[in-house]
Amino acid sequence: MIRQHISAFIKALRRERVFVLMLAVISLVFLGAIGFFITEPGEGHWWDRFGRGAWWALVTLATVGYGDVVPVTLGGRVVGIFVILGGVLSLSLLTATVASIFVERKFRRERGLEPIKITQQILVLGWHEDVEIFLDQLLRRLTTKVPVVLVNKQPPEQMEALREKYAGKEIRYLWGDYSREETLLKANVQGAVKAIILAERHPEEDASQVDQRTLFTALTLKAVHPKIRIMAELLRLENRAHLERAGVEEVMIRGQYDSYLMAGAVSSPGFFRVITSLLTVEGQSLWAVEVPSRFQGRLVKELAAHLRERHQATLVALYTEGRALSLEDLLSEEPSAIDDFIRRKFAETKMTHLFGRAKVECQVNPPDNQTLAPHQYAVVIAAQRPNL
Amino acid sequence: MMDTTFFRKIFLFQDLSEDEIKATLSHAISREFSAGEVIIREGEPGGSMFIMCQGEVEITKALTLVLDEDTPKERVMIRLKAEDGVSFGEMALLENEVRSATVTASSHCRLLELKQEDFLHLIHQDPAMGVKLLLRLAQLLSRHLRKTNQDVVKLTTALAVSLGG
Repeated sequence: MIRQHISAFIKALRRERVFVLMLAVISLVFLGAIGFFITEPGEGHWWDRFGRGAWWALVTLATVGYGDVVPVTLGGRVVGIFVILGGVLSLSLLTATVASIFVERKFRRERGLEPIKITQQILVLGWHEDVEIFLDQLLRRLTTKVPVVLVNKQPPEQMEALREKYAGKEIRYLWGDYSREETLLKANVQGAVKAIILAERHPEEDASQVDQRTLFTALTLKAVHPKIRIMAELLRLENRAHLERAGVEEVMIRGQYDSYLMAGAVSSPGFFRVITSLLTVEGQSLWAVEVPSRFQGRLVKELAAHLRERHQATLVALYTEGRALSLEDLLSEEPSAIDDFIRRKFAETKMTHLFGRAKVECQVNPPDNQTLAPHQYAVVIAAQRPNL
Repeated sequence: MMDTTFFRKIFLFQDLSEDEIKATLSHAISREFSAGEVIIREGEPGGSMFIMCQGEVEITKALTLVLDEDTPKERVMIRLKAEDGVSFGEMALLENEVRSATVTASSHCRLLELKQEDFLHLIHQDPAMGVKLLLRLAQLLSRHLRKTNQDVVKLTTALAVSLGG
């Protein structure tokens, strides 16, 4: 990481010709030293006199001017004039260039033009009017300091305002078309853990075009980083199968739940409020927590009682993030020619993501007498995330 | 001279008594191959099985049909050592078909070759021993078949998955 930074900095220095400028300064010192050596009388060995000349040239050039060594002859003073003028010019150029590199980097980062270097990040691809609500809820739900990278073409000022709003969180911004591979590479997709593709709609586009872009993005993401988990937002239900085929783990249809909510709200008053309050992070909300290993093999009612007594939380559902029966299960561990062949062929065609597709199995309102299996997650209603 | 405990490792002989192994091997011819020499070649007719006494062989087999010259030739390769009790070409004892794999000596090899007619003669001569040998041979074939069935399932699944099943 540090090495990367240093090499990037050195590259920038080279690009801005800082080394040439440095060389100019050094040669100016050298020339000044020669000039001083020739024009000024002195005693001792020639290297002594030359050294004194170099010291004088450096002190003069840097506008320090100790005055411990001074030219007394006319020739020496003429040399001094050149060293002073050259020094002011080249040193100020050097300082300005180095400073400009830093300023430019800051500027580029704010504009979202600098490549993302962090890893383990969540990519939020695209933008629409509801993203701020999404971000707000997401950042409150993220337990650890997970970096979030926003990739879109919104004005940088808006992104800057967002970053200021969530100053404590790590939010990065990358400007660009997220359906293009180079943009995704700039967002360091290889290091990302999750990507969320939002249904960004441009004024002249219809819903199917938006979904198409979502599909292309999903395909590109999986091609670059087969293990990334993707959540995609679709506008049309009929496109769901395409995205699932592309390896997208979760597909959301925009507005899908509005109808459920409306129907519920009409039939039973208060229902709407209950659901809304459960969905938002404020107040009582739904949280997913990993069932601790000490509960494995014990009954659901024990976990429920523990949650109720210790954390004032109500157990609603259990789920496992198991894998569906996949190729990886089929292929044996021991070396076999056919298995190697299949693995190699899948790797060659970059389709390894088809191997082990994650499958979430959930059980709402699990019976009391069921035993808890390993690697289960509990969904609870609580005021905050219970720390089991 | 012949060490029967060594040949007991050979799957085909595991039911036989010491004398029976000796009797069987007395029909075999000792053959030597230097490194790089092809012992049997895939697609060529063959009528004998081989038992390894010493050395190392490499078994290669084409995985895909050669459709045209552009398709890359996929081959599998297995290395076998004489110490592990290796025999190959057993199928030739039962039928006169072409060889299903190529076996190349990767070091200096000493092998025993058992010809089909000698084998058939042997089991006619001593049917009790013949049954034991044939039973082992049948088990070997059923094992191969099971493996092949598994491979087919793997390949069809892989095909279905890759075509978006």
